[in-house]
Amino acid sequence: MEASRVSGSFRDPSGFVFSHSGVVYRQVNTCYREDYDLLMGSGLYQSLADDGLLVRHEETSEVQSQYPDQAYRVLRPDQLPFISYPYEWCFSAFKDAALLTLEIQKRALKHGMTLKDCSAYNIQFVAGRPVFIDTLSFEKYVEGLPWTPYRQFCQHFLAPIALMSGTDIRLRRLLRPFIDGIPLDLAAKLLPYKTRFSFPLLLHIHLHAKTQRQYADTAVSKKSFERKISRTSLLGLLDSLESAIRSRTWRAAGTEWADYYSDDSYTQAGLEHKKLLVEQYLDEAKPKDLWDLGGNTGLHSRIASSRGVSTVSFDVDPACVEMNYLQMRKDKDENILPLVLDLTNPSPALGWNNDERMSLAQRGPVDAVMALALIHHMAISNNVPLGMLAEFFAGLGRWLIIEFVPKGDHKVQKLLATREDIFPDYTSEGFERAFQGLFTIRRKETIRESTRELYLLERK
Amino acid sequence: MTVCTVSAAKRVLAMAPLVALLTVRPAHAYIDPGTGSYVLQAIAATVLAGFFVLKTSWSQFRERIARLFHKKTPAGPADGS
Repeated sequence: MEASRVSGSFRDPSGFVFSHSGVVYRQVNTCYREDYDLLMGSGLYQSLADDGLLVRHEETSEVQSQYPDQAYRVLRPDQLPFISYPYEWCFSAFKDAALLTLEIQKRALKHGMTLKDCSAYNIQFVAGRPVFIDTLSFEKYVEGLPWTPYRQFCQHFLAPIALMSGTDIRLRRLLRPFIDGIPLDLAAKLLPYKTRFSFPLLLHIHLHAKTQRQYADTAVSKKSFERKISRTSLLGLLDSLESAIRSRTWRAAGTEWADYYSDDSYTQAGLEHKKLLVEQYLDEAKPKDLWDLGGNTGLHSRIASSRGVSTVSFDVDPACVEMNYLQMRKDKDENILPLVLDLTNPSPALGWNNDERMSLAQRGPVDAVMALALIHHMAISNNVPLGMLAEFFAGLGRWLIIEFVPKGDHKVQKLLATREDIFPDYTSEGFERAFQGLFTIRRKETIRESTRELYLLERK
Repeated sequence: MTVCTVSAAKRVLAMAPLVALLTVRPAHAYIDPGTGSYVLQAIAATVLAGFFVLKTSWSQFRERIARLFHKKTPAGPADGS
């Protein structure tokens, strides 16, 4: 099989990521030789990898990329189970990613190195923790030189965190159109006036934006670029950025979905029966990986993760995902990753040539998909025909655990209360008819003390 | 947390050209650090260095006192040394 360069790996001339026979490798180019040797020889790699802060790799000569003439080394990093993007992270995940980046920068300085970029896309969540994945982001530290990725850190981390905390949690979505982080002038406009009285935000966002504006069209002499920044000054800057990140808070509570399992959707017996059925269906399907779509706070995702299934738990509600993430952290659950995702408009392919960041579907398929108490929101609130839903799910995974919520259910009645019922096919029979073209029904049970039905379907 | 007014900060910014006195070789990077960001960082880092030195000195002083009395100190801010 041919090696192919990963399309999002092109900015840094130090090397690139490629895949070969389904395994991801990283080529270190000859021009990065000195810095790579320093990373490995200074003890920095060992220190970071031992503490799980940087992805581990081994050097290999088994494969070569399509550009072997530029190669100094080929690395085989630990393979990642799932790639997530900052516009899918909840608030605390974002904070953890930012703090990890600063911690890595501080450790790098101790070993005579520094980060040369601070992209949020350099962070992935593995086994319940953020991990830095770009092994080529380090360079030799020269005292006196400024920290090149200062602006990038503010755009990629501080601005979104400050906006989510201070303005509106939904502003995380700005990272989708602004792939290189939120412009600081926009962040400054959107943040409430009171953030000017927080010294770190005043400095790193408001004055930063103002200085950027001031120098945007000004011809600057070469001397202006040659300001000396001592090591202590740089540590002061990092300390201030850390304070700015740590002081931002957001409390997840009070949304419609965050209280879902404590409302009247199920009786206690019904909820227990539903959990039991999910357990049985998972034991039958035996998936290695699973996406729980509409996973809420992760109640059912945890049934999968506790069985060692690599589980991504998606939900549209940032409060639910935040609670799910905090639970994951508390439990030290290594098999679950909670992410924010609007299924009516899932993450698209983005960036250069629409090929830099993968769409949701491009990151699949997985062994199993779970869609519990979800279908009525897609079919009725979003008018998606059942046949199109079947096609969507069939593209994502082999097994489908899906709950059908009939029209008689009070949740569906609520959705139909203020609109005309234009869904004559939305019945149990209509559901089965639509899905049986692509799936075989393996199990079907009615959840106790409810009219809802839980199916285990296998793609044909 | 330190409170600073916008007008005071504007005065600091206005002084920016005066700060450009010391020189080292320019950085070469594959990402653009941005001119404004570069200038602000130089000023901010100088100011923040003072705060940082005070903070770490105070933290070290507290640790010494605590050791003197054989008391355990609570976990302080992340080590920035």
